Amino acid sequence: MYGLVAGALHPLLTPAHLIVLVALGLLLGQQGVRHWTLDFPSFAVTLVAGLLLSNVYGNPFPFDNNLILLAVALLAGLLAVVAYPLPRWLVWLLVVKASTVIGLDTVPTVLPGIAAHKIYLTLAGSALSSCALLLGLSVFSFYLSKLWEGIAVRVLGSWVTASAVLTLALRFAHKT
Amino acid sequence: MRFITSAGLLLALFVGTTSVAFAHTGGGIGGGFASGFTHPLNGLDHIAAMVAVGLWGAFLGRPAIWLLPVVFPLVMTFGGAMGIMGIPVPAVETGIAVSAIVLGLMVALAAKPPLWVAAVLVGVFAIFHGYAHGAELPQAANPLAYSVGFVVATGLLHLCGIAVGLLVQWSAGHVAVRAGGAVISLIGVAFLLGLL
Repeated sequence: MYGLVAGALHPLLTPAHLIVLVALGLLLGQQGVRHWTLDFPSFAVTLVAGLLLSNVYGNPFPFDNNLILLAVALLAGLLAVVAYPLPRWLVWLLVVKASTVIGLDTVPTVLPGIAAHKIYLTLAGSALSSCALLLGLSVFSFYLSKLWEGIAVRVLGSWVTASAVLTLALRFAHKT
Repeated sequence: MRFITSAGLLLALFVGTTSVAFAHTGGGIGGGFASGFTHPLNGLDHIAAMVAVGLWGAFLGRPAIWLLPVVFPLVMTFGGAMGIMGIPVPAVETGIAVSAIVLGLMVALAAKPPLWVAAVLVGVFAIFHGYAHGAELPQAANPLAYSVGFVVATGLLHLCGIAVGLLVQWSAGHVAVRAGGAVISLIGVAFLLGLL
């Protein structure tokens, strides 16, 4: 499937992308708007850069994208559990790492004869959806962190961390 | 508060109507979020212990009310990882049954130990529950979706316990919550004796 909607569904249907977006959204919302002016534009720019790099030139990095995304989700989830005010550079680093890898990992299957504009529409849908998801989750987390002393965000952070740890354990178990 | 109470009763009803004792059959789990989500809900022993954690947290008040449900999934992952790696842990089923007995008793006796004692106790039992989930993590299906499913289900069971536990602020509610703890403890005994 190609097109804007198919692309928009991609981050929702890719568990590794979704969990890292949830983790970052929780963290960004909890840390407050002082992070947002830098982190949201950086997320969008590096996401598009990753998308273009992998789809035009091919992914030049021989890393396991899902492994990196799970590690970022684990870290972001743990930081949300701790709920300590973080330096801007640390959150920015996590955001940029995740967005670049999400971009590099979003490569639609190119069927012979498919029009190029359909591929680009799919990629645009995926980029828009990822940005909208992160923004929406951050806003949600921002307001949620005002309730019940921020307990709900910390509980959700622990859920994300637990899920990421288990999946990482499974991957390492398969490699050994 | 009335909303929370109503939501708690509704969740309790939901939990009470789930099927029982299929959590550790080891087969037939397809994978994905749905099977992960239903895994803790298919075993009464899991449900009883998870709800007890929430009940006890509500009983102990702040900060235990949120600390225990945060500690549980985090420590549970260690047990899960051990299950995935195949590291042997003795008497997992017994540990799960004992967790229901002990946590239920804590609620029934209105025990209020220091916070670190409660956290350690809950953490130790979390390893057994995590091990059971981890050992059955389906390798062919999407493991991340499965993990998210069972972690979310576990967390919702804690929230269910917390919601019901908030009844302790009324005297009748206090009695009801302690009685609930006793029932959970009895369920644990039944599992330990192989009656359920």
